[in-house]
Amino acid sequence: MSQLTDNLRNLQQVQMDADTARRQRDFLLERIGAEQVAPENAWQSFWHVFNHPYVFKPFAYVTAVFVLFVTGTFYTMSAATQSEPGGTFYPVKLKFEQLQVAFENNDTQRAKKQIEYADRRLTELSSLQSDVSPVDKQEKVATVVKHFNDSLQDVKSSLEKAATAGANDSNGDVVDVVALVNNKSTDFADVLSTHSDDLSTTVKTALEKEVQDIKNYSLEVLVAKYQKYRDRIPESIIIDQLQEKIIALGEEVSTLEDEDIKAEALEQLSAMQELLEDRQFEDALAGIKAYEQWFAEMIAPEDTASNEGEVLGEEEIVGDLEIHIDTTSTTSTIPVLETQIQSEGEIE
Amino acid sequence: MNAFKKIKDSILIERIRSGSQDAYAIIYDQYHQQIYRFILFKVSSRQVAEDITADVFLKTWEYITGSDKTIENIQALLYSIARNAVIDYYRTKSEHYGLDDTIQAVDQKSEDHTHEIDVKQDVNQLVNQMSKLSDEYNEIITLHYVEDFSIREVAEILGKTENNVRVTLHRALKSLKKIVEDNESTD
Repeated sequence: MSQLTDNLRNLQQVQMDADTARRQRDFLLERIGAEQVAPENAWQSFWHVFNHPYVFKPFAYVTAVFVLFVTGTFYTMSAATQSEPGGTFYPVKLKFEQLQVAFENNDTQRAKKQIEYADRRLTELSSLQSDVSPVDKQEKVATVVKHFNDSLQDVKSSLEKAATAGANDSNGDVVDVVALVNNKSTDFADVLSTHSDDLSTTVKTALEKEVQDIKNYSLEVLVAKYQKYRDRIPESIIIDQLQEKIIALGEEVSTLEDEDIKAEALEQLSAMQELLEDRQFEDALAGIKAYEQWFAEMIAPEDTASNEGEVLGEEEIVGDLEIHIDTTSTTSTIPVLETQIQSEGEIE
Repeated sequence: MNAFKKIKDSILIERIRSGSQDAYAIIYDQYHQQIYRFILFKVSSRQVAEDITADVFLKTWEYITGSDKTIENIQALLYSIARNAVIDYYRTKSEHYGLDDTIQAVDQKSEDHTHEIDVKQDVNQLVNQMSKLSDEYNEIITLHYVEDFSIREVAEILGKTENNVRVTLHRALKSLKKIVEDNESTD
């Protein structure tokens, strides 16, 4: 039986010979060509294929699902972008921001985004001024402050990674991000100073310190990068940044009333200026850090005395929420501001 | 028949209806050999099979363009038209072309190749033996063993149930085997 079926399969070699098949094909095409009305054009061909139920229906379903998905996503993102702290879509907004950060190419780009989002948090803080319910407002302020602090920590983390990144990481971006941090730090400080009513002195001081530390840290990253890749970062950028810093410190000194401290401060600043002129950038930066620590100690007793009740207590009440702040760090690196919000429900 | 082929055939039919010669040529190129064989095994004449094949494709075109009915399986349509064409042929023609025509035509093409001649002779002998089968057995063996269609596809083409095809196929093969054995004992 197997032999028979094999032989049957061999019958496939019985074929109409090629010439006959070609002639027959031509004959048939000629016949139908003479009878048909008009050949289809390209558009008609496309339409007949597209309009076929097997093509059109799946296409229609896929398109409908796609449109619903895009519309839904667009609506959600639109609602999220405009949402305010405490709003339903506010957590979505924050998640979307995290997603955007994750899609950035390198750490300096990520730092830029994170600064932008920190700026956004302070804008939200300002917009809360019009909130009528004091309880709601306090909760929302606490939420915004938490996320602002988170953004600052993220910036710090990205800067740390950028500092240790290899030559492949864009050094031009480092220069940009340092300039951005400088500008934004000034803006942040200005905004925070306008929120004395919303933020306790401790929280405000801690945030201001955090902002200042990130500003200093970005300068450290820039100098460290310059030391490693001198040919890629212009020297003038380093000089300008350090010069600006020394000038800012000098302006601060000019407001002091104690002549002895003032004289000592100016002497130290002069020494740093000389180091800068000698292109000893690392030493100049180390001098600035040491000076700032010394200066803080010099002016601290008066400030501490005036805020004794608040600063000594490390728990600060913002509305019904407790914010725990570590203000003990005095090292040159940024102290960790641990903000823990405890309330009955989790707040995003 | 898989979904992709079904869609492809349906699209070709739509294009033929809109006057596309290319689509018609694609169908001809794809199916003319198997339709030709199907007919040849029934009529045992190359010349007649060629004529009927042309007639089948012309009628297929007329059927497609002359109605707006949904045609999901063009292969089944071609076989259906081929079966009817063969029936018409036997009904209207009293003259029956002999198998000798087929053998001669095949042998003339490969006369310089001894091995091929042997093969062709075996093939023609088998075609001759198949022609002794009933139409039902002939076409079911052709579709399953020659064209290699699955039981399901054969059932679809012939409009029968799969079980019916299995049973008929078994009987057809048994019948053909008997014809072959009788032929060998005669020789």
